[in-house]
Amino acid sequence: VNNSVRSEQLFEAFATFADTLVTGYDVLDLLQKLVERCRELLNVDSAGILLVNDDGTLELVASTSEESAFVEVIQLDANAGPSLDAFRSQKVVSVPNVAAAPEQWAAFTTAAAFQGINCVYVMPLRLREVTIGTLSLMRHEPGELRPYDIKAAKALADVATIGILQERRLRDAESVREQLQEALSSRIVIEQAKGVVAETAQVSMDTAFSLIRNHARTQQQSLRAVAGQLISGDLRL
Amino acid sequence: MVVAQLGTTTEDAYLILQARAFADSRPMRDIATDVIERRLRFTDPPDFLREAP
Repeated sequence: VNNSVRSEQLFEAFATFADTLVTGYDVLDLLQKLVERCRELLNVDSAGILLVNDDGTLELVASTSEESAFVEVIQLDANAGPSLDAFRSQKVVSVPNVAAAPEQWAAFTTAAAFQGINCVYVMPLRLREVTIGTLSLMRHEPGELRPYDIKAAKALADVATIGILQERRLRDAESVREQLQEALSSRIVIEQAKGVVAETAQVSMDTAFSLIRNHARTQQQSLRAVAGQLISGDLRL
Repeated sequence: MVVAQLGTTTEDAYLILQARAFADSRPMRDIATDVIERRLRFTDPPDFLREAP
């Protein structure tokens, strides 16, 4: 895709997100759309978002594929890796070549290599002094990300951060963490629904998620609402 | 997936996975992986409940 077309698509994406922020939204849906736009518009193969939960630990909340989800979850499990470093240091962590990653990230390196991911770029989701999670971009091909992609990703990450914090403000909740916890529990319900669809439709987890997402989109319902109906058996895809 | 296999709730599905892990002395994570990778289904009765031929 050439640059002017990409600029136009990026502009479209931002216009849509801005509109979403103004008209009202479900945080999880917003974050899922964000990672999908990252994958479509930036020169990366997958993207994911981790959010901090009530206990101050990170959890996966949105991802574009099972592969990237796996790499994130392995890092959380090992309590080490670029996503955790980016969160703790509140700084961007770039791993242009996974094979050359530090030794203490062995679990991450193995998981990434297993999924064919050779380049990882993680930026913290932060507003001033508050860091609420991370946005990870992953690519099969090793090498530094292009400045254009980094700039666009930073802007998308900012939209995510504002979206999350703004929802909290609108709902006048007691704490950011409460809101984050809600997004995280939505994620659990969606994972459960993926299992139901994978079994009833005999498809892969990725396909199951696509089916759920498409249904939510065409019916104009939130992912969580659709997931709830699938788990209770009120809906079959 | 267990929810769909047994037509049960997520809470019961969790208990079933936990019970299976306990019975097999294996971590729940392993049992869950077997289910997701379709090596294990919870539709068939266990061996000891099957009548001898």
